Amino acid sequence: MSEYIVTIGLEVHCELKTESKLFCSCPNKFGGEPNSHTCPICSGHPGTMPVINKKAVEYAIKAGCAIGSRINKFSKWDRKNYFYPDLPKAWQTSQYDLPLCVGGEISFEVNGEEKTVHMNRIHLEEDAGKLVHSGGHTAVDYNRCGVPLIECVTEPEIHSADEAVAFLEEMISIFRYSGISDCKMQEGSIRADVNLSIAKRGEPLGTRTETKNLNSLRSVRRAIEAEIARQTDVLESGGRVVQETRHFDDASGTGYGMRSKEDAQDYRYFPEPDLMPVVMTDEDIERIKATLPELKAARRKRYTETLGLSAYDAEQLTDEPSVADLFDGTVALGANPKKAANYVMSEIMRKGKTEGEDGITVGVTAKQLAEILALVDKGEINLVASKDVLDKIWQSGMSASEAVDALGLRQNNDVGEIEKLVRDIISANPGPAQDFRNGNEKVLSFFVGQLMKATRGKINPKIAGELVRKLLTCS
Amino acid sequence: MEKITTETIRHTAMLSRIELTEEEERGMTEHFAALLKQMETLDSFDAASVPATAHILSAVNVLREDVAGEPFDREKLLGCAPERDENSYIVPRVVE
Repeated sequence: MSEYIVTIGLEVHCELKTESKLFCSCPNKFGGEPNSHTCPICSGHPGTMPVINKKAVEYAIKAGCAIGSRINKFSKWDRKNYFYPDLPKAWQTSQYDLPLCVGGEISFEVNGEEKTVHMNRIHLEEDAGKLVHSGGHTAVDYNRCGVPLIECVTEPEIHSADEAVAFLEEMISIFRYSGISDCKMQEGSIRADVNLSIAKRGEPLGTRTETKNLNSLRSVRRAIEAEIARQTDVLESGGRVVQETRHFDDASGTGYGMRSKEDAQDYRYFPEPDLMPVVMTDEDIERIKATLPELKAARRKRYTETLGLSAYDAEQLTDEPSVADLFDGTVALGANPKKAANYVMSEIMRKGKTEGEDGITVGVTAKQLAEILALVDKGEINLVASKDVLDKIWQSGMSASEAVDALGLRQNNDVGEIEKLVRDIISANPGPAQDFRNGNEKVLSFFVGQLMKATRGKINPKIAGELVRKLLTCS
Repeated sequence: MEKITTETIRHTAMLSRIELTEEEERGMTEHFAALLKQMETLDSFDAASVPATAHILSAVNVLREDVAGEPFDREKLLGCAPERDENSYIVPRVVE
């Protein structure tokens, strides 16, 4: 199998996070009762006229800017005709020869090596509806119909499932950082088509197949592996690969052919007479580009090179844009980067993670978190108590200081008071006290633990430890 | 100019999911050929110096702000369909 070179091109469909649909004002919302977000425009009634959503155009251009595409200053709309009930007009309004973005590239790391995949184009189009097949009929829901979608087409420069998955991870990160899409695979807001062929080294490219609508990274990986194995079997047994559209069945882990692929001509593209072209000036493009935040790769680099974090920490912190924003904001407010990083990676990520869901919910602002860290730093609360504070202020506007008082958690740093407590604990535990005097150092943490328990974590553990040692040694 | 054959007509009919009788196929073949003949008259026009246009009107950037409105009354929309259930359009089963 390894003697074949695998060539893969991806078409990634990504739903844009606008308020309304691409050509009408219906809400762009996932879920809801079937057909509850529809109107005569998105359900394809004759005589209706589409009007382009400005934000969707800007988001598509922003996606292009984020990956270094050339933005077409003149782009137009086309009808891609095909007959299927998920598309009520019997054509998809899309862009054919003059898409919004041309070229660009995405660099990523795969198995320790840097790799760059060039992009062919990004164009804007409308999503199709959803079909539910049951019994002898199909039920049609047009809620998703008309949701703005960018189709991002790579050059055929990907050569393995690992590369495809790493590429997609990087693309998802870029789009999420850019704020143009949530890229929630489980909600179908990002889906990939895989074009794949194999050929022996030195021979021309083989015949390709297209596996459509893969909606998880896991499916992409499995579909690619299954298709490489299938095409290898076909060629090894003397057969030839047929150009076709295939579907991958996640449950069985196998792909099957759907129909012989209709080539581009069969879509009978023609210019959309109901929509005017989009013209962008250099100033427009610069204005949109200026809204791009610092992306993941740049932040990762800054975290290691400027803030001195480890590569592992930088990777963890930048996985989720909202987490990276929280971290940056907290450091900007004066927190120590390493301490802030540790706190975010342990407490915030633990608390913000919901079982079975992608992503992290960030329930505190940078200001709230910076205050918690400052209180810990000043010794007003200890790390254990800070978790209660975090619970209290999570998704509320309360300041950390207010929570500390409300919970009565302010740490006792009064040496005199702590000394009295230490004496009480020592006399209540003569056995362990003797153990310490006999040289068992471990007993020290037993006493500190007892003190923390007795005071519900409110004493300064550092002062307590020093006092236990002092009193046990001199008595 | 490419010749319109019965094959062209059958292929187009298949893409449009239309069934044609043999008689209709013959009629369509002639009809398509006549249309193409008409289009040929454009060849007599020297368009070399004319830039390609994307639209017959000169307006560009007809855009709307991204503001979500109220969806349309679902009952009215579903009511237009030949077949429906409580909340969906019903069509013949399209996958095997």
